[in-house]
Amino acid sequence: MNADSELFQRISQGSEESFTEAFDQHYAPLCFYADKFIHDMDESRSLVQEVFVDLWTKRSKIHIKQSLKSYLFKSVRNISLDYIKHKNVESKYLKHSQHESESDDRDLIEEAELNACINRAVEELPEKCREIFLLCRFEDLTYKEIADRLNLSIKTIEMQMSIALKKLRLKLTDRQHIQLLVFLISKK
Amino acid sequence: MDHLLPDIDLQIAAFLSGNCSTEEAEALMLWQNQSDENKKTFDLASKAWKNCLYQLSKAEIRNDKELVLRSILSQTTLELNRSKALSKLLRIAAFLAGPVLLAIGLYVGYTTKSNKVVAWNSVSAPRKHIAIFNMADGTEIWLNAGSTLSYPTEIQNNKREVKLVGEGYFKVTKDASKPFIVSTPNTTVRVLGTTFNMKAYPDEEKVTTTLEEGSIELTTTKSGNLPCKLRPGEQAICVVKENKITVNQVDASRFSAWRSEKFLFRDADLKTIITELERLYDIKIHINNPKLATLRFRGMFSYDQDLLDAFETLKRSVTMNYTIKGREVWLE
Repeated sequence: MNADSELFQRISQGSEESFTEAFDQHYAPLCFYADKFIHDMDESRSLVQEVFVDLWTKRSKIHIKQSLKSYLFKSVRNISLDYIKHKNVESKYLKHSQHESESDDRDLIEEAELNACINRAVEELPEKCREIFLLCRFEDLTYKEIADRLNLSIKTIEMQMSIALKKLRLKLTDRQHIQLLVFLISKK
Repeated sequence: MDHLLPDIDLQIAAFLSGNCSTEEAEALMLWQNQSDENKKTFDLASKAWKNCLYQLSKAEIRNDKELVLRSILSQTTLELNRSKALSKLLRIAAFLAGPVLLAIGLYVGYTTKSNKVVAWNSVSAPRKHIAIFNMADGTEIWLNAGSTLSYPTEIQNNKREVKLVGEGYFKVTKDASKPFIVSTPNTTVRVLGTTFNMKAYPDEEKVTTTLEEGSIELTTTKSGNLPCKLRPGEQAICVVKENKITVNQVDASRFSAWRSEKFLFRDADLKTIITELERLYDIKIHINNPKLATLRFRGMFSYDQDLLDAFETLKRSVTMNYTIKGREVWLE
């Protein structure tokens, strides 16, 4: 039995601690995953929250075949597709949903996990560095505009951006090493 | 790894964010074509940049977790169909951590004035668990373990009236036109919109009402007392036998700590603790050594703790032994 199914076992026995552990572990990637279908992060977050509430309230009725992780991703996928159907939102994922191959879905999950990994890395940046990075990445401000807004020199912005980017890419390097390791172990 | 130019990240960042000149961009392209290692570095950086889609902050995640936990608390796992049809005043959207069912009862009472038959629902929190309700008007009520709340199925005389046996914490939604009234066999509290804790166990000689916010008016059922008005941070203790109310300043939040399924005691004598334990575990505790009864303790029990844990906690602060037989315990 692996750690993941043990976690679910404890949840189904009523362990709140294991429930919050599962939340901490899977919440962010699930939100990014839902967002792939819905393209609205706030809605995605509420849907994923719903899935977690269900996980707890129906824990004694849930039978998990594969793993807690795949159960959660599947639930989020279903609730997201339902949401789209309900909203009549045009989405390429809705049309493909019936005959979408498993490998496509694996790619989406993989991508969502990557998003969450980078999200975490950005959260771990020093405060000033993160602020600058986010202004640059999401508000599309130029270095000059950021420098003016924060009353800093352009040199500082350049430096902080390079620190941020270096940390993020090293994080990805570590991640790839770990994935390779996991792959090799699972091959054995 | 760092055989790279020291400022390569600076150049990649400027490139990805559109802050570099055409010459700089060309230089970077040349650089990344120089070796596989360079190409890999560049690819990872742009992968990180591209996959940074939306920032979900730690605070947001914490907040979302809080939402999930709160929603779980208020999710009902009950079949409420029967009482739902009857209940207009109270919408119980309610439940607590743990797979124990609330006991829901229904009885029929008579209103004195109109002589019309009005059905009352009652809800109890099971032992070792608290229950949370949301009323239709938004009022939130927490019931401590073993306590019962009754409420009529429709509003009568423009009053929101409930009856409490045990301990409850009330967060009443303001509605000046419909006063909220909590009655116990010995006291009545009239509320306009406020937060307070009320402890009225039938086996205790007193009713303790602690006000957190707003204002309330307390009257005793027996005549002879003027209504007693409480201000935030005040606690009224009504000694039932003497029909007397005394008011003290207290740290109000301490008296509603049970809402987190914990029993907190600070400088409490063993008798007080025992009363709580008896209620929590539905047992009878005897103190064989009178000296023990006078000792004072501080500490905390969690409702999900085992009874033995509770005694072990006590044993940590004082030398004593306990014997358990059936539902009775002797301390010495």
